[in-house]
Amino acid sequence: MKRLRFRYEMHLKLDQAVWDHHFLIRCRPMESARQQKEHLSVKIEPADFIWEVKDGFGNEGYAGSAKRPHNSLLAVSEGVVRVDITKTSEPLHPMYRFSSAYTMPGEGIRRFLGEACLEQGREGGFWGRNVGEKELMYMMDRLYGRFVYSPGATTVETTAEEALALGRGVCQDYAHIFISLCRLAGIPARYVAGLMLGEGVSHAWVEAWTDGGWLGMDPTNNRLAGDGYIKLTHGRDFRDGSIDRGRFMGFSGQSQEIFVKVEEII
Amino acid sequence: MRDMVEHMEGINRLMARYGVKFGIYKNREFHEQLFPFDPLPRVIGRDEFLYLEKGLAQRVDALNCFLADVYGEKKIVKDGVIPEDFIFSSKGYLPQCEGMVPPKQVYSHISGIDLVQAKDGDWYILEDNLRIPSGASYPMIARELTRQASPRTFMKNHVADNRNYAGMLKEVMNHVNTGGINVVLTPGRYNAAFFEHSYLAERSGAILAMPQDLYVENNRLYYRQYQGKQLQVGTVYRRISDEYLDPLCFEPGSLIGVPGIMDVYRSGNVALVNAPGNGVADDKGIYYFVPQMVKYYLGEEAILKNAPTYLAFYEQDRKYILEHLGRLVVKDVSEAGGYGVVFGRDLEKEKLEELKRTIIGDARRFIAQEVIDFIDLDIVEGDGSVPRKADLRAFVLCGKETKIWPSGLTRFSRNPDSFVVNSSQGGGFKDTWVLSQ
Repeated sequence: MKRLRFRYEMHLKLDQAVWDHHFLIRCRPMESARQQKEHLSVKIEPADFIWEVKDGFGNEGYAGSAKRPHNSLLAVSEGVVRVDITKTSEPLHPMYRFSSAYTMPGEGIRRFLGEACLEQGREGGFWGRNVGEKELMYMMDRLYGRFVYSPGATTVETTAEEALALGRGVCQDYAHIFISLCRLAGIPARYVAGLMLGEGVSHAWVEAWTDGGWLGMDPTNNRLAGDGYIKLTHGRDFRDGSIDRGRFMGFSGQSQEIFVKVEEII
Repeated sequence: MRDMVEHMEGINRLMARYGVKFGIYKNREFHEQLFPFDPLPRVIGRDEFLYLEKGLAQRVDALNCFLADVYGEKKIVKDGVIPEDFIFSSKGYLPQCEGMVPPKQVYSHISGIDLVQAKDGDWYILEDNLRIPSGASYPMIARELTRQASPRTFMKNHVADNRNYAGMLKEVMNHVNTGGINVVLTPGRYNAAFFEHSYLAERSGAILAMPQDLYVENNRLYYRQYQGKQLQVGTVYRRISDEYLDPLCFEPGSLIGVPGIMDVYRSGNVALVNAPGNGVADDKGIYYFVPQMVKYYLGEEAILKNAPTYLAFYEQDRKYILEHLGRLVVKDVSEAGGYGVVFGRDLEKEKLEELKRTIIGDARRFIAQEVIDFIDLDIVEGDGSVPRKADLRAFVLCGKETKIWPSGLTRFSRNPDSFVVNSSQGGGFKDTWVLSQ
C-alpha cells in the first residue's frame, strides 16, 4: 500500500481569444477497490458552470463551459490517494474482448504474436484461456525489446498496427500495441490513462484480465503497474480514456502543457 | 384509384415546388433529386393491417427490451441466446451508452420496419431501422396533395387518414419530455432528408433547430432564440447520427454536434429520440436473432417472419451458404442503405469464388438470405402501367403505447430487374392506403 500526493496541471494556451468553450476534464482519480481518495481539490478556470459527470466506462470527470472570450484554460487537480493493489476484482465487461478503432490487429501484430507463441513452444497459435501473468510478462518483455521510446515519432491518431510497423512511439503506442496483442491472444484488455510516481506528463498503461481480475501492466516501462500508479480513466483505447476534450468557437491555434507530480507520503 | 393517374403530373410538380427531394452522396458530391411519386397507391386491407399491426408492435417491443438489456443487465448474453460477438463487436454498439436509462425507458421511439410481401401473400421482415429512419413525410405530403387534387377518390374509398403522423410524433415527444420544449435537430440544409426535418417540425409543432441553436449549460440543454432568450429543451428528435451527436463523447471532430448533450441525457435532463446506441439492435447480424428475442423477452412466438437467413458465423450455416451461394443474397452486416448487398446469381464464377473466400475469411461480417420473390406493384409508365418490385416501410411509434401508423412508405425500384428499392439507389415511392372498412 502506498499513500500518494499528486498534482495534475493542464494548461491550454490559445493565441487568439475563443468563446463558447465546452470542455470535459477527467482529472479525478477513479474510486475503486484499488485506489481511494483521501483528499481532492480541483480548480478549472475560466468557467461559468462546472458539473460532475460519469460516462459509460465508469470514468468520472468535470464538464463545464466558458462563454466569454478567453485566451487560456487551466485545470489543476491535487490531492492524496491511497493505492493498494496491482490487481482489481472489478467485473469484466465483454467489450474489452474485441478490437477497437486504435487496436485493430493487422499483419504486423499477428506476426508478432505468432512468433511470441512459437518462442513459448505454443505453435498452435493463440494462447486461449489458460494464459497467466507469466505469458503476459513474456509478451510485454518481447515488445519492450523491440520497440523504442521516441516522442514525436507518432501522433494521437496512430494505430497499434502503424506504431508497431514504425517501431517507435510513446506510452500511448506501447499500450495500444499491447492491448491489441492481448485481445488477439484471447485475453481481454483495456487502456488506462493516469499518473505515475515522479514528475512529468500523464501516462498510459494497460489492464489485462487474468485469473478473474484486472492486472495493471506498464509496457512502456516493462513492469507491473503497481502502487505507484494513479488511475484516472479507462476504456477500449486512447479515445475512450482521453483526459481532456473540448470544443470552442473562434479561430485560434492552441498548445497544451501538462505537468504531473506524484510523490509517496511516508 | 385510376383517377389519380390524370393528376400525376400536377402532383409531382407540386411536390417539386414544396421541395420534396432526396439528397444523394455519390463520389463525394451532393446531388439533390426529386423523389419520384407514383400515383397508384399500395392498398392494404383492414384485416391484413390488423395482422401487421400486431406483428410489428410485438417485434418493436422485443427490440426495445433487447436494447434495455444490452445497455443494462445483458441477460440475453448470459443465458446464451445471442453470442456476445454479435453485440459487443458490432459497430452499432456504443459503450458510451452503458448504464444509461432513457426517459420512460423508451429506446426506439420511431422504428422503420421494412417488409415485403411474397407472391403467396406472406409478409417477411427485411430489415429493422431503429436509428433515425426517414421517409414518413413522403406519404404524408403525397396524401395531402392527392386529396387536394382528387377529393372524390377519397370519398369513394374508405382510406384511413394518415395525416395524423405528426400528432403521433408529438405524443411520443411529449411522453418522454423531461421538461421544456420539443425540438427537431437537423444537421442542416445539405442533409439528404432536410425536407423531412422541416416538414415534421412544422407539423408536430416542434422547433426546427440547427446544431448552433442548441447549447449545454449546467447540465441542461437550451435552445437559443434569435432575441437571445434561452428556452430549456425537454425532447430532441435528433436527425443527426450517433457518432456526430456530441464531440465530447463521440467523434471529436464533429462540427454538427452539441458538446455535452450526452451528459445531459445521461443525467435524465433531456430525452433523445431515438436513443443513441440503437444501432446494436438493427444490425444485419442481430436481425437473425430477433425471432429468438421475441420468445426470450415476451414469451411469444414471433408473428412476423424473417426472410430465411443464414449466419456465416455458425459453421453449419456457413456450409449451407457456401454450397448455395449462387441463389442466395449476401449482405455485409456493417453496411446500410442498399450498399454491400450482393446477389449470388449476378456473379460470374470467378467472382463467386472470390466472395466465398471473403466470407470464410471474415465470417462474422456476413449473412446470407434466400431471395424472396416478392410481389410487383403496378407503376404508371407512359399511357399504361408496368410491374415493379416494391417494399413497405412501416412506422412504429413508441410512447405510452406502441402504435403503428396506418400508412407507410412504399418504395419501388424503377429498374425492372432490380430488387433493391432504397431511395439512395434511385427508386421512387407510392402512398400506402390502409382501408378502414
